[in-house]
Amino acid sequence: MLWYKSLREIRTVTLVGIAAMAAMCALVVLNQQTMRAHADAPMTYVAYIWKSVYNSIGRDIFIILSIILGSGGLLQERAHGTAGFTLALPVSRRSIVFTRAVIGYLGVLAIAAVPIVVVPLASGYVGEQYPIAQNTGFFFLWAACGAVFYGVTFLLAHRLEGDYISVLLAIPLLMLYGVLLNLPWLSRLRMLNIFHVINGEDMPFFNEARHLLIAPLPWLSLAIMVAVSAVFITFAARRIQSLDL
Amino acid sequence: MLWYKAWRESYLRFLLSAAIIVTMCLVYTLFYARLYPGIAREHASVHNYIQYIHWTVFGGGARGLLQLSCLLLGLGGLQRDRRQNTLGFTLALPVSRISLVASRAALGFVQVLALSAIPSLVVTAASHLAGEQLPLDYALRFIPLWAAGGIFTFAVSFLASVLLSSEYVSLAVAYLVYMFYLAAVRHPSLGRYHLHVADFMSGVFPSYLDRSTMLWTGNYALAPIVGFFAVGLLLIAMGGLITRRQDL
Amino acid sequence: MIHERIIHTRELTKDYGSFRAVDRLNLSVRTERITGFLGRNGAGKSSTIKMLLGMIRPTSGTGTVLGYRIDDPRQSIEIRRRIAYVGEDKGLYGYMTVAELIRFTRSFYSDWQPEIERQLLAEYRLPSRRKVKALSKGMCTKLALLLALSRRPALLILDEPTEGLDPVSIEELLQTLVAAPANGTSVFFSSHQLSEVERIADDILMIDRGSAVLDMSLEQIRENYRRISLGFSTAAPRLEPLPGIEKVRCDGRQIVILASTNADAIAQLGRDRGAVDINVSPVSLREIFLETVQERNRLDQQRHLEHDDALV
Repeated sequence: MLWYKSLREIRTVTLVGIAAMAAMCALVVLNQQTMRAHADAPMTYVAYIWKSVYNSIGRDIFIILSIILGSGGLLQERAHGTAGFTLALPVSRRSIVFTRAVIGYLGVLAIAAVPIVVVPLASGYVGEQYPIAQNTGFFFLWAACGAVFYGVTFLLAHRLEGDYISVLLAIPLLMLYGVLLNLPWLSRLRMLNIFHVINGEDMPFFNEARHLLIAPLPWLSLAIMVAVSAVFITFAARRIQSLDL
Repeated sequence: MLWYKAWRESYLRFLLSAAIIVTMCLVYTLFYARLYPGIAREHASVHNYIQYIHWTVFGGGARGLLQLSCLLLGLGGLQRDRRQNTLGFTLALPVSRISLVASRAALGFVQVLALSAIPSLVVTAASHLAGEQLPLDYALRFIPLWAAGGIFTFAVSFLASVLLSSEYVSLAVAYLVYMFYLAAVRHPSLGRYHLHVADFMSGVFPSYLDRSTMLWTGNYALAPIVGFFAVGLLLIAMGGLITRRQDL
Repeated sequence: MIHERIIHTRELTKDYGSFRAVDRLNLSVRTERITGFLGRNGAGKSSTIKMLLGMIRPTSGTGTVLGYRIDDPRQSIEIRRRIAYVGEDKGLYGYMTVAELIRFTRSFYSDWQPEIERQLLAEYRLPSRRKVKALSKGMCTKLALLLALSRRPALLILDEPTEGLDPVSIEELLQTLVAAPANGTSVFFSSHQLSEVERIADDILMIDRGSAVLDMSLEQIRENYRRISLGFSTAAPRLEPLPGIEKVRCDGRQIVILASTNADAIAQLGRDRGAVDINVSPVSLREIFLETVQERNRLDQQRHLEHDDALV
């Protein structure tokens, strides 16, 4: 039942996140006519959806929610006085950490999946079409990049005690990573840029003119991202293993 | 001594935020020569040092970080005391709930003000070290904008932390409300009112910063400064009134 | 300002949604006395105390502490300034050290007594530089007591003060509480340790399901409460109700009566109805508590089981 405990811990944030993502997608689609009419340059419906959902507010909401879902865990439980109870359960610390990590990541996936449902439904309602394959493709991009954001925060939350410290540090760390990608020798390795991979910008699998995913997704890179996240989570588990709680 | 309690509960967040903003300003300024080509290549509006600094600091990542810091600094309060099992002790102190709220808000204002002043001072000083020129009066003009915008942002999460009992839910809700507000004020029907706090903090309100040069024009944003500050105060006052009536 | 009744409430009620925690409670606590506040878990003790301190608002009813209204936010600040309180959870700011927390608390009270603080710090052997979150539960309780006792408050309100303390510290605390009324401090404390209550309390206030079920001085309880055993040679007869009969338990040829007063008349009634063996004995507080709340507990359980059966 560890999964149940973890689920109860992330349930509200996940549900709030799903609701917010759904509302955002619906509002973006329902306002498409007004927004496109007032855009600096004419744009297709597909371009509008990409710019609004996958390259703007939708992506930003997703990144922050991935980071918030990554915070929490045993160190935070200590501050609330429930760590003793959790550690007294007849399960290993590894199980506690990994269960929390997996359930939290399922929350990330659930939020990432919202546009797959809402965008096509709302598009149909306003008489437009947005290919569901595109939503699905972006879901995989969000899932892999979200795993990195989630993993970084998860590791920080299991290393540093204090309210919101993991969130506060995760974002500048990721921003610093983004800044370093401007360095010439790093900018050549395009697949390292998760901020571009997440929305397809400047990527060979994305057509900038049509704003569509065109080629097969970089599955190897995406798998590496998930693996990197798994490494972060393993480090978090090792840290908790050796900690006097 | 209530300020002391408020300080002890928030100083780590505040000092970390300050350190991160300082680091960010130093990285963008001292590594200007290395970072400029990449940024100028990607953003057509960046042609010189001032535009680069505006793109990266006053209207860019550092501003975003200040907003995030303000959101995080606004969280806490009596709901946090309840989670930490210290509510009984706090409420048994011979002070009103309004005093508890006011001390936290007043300290938050000071912290936001201090964070707002960092980029202007650090970037100006570091620019000299990097052999570049950034006029001090150019940078100082951002402080009131960042402070007013920061207080408004702080107030959003302050109110969320009063209303919601879970720490991460209040953070998520505060952030989402903030994001929806930022998206809503971009709607064409609201665009003419210039309600976008990030635009305001960046100084790109049409009448007081020249978008092509990123230099100040003759006008200054006094009305928006007062407006955002007043809305921030209003949200905090609402938080105070709700706290007074809450069954904690 | 001396009030004969340091705490007074009328029809005090607190609802949490549909759950009534305190139900039209009428309290009257005398000044410069030690009052034990008893009740089962969830009986409404902590909610009552929180209302007295102005920490939560009553749903209805009124009350005063030291003459100040508990439902007026301004007056409740005066209440908190003049009283000392130790809550049941003893939650203290874990991020402060012991010394910092003392300094912090001291700043709110003009009647702080540095010499008592020093004495208690030494007596409790509290490490000044250690963070509160690193203290054991017992140490936390001691620190909470130090913060409350290092003053000369008009009223000391303690919620389970001995919980987590070692026997030596319990003894020291009880001695401190016994001495408090001589210094002008009234004590109002809740505890599940009935033997401790019996040792030091002057008055007893017992509540169950939010209402007062016993409000009497310990002296009156000792004088008036009696257990009366009536033995009969045949099946025990039904006894007509008499004033003072609180509980009657009939078991074959024996009737056991808990009487709050009128013990002689009740014994005489037993004699008149043919009792061959009459035994009148004093009752401990523990027995009164169990007799008073157990019956209600049994009824509660029965109702709960019936409810569960209905659901099945």
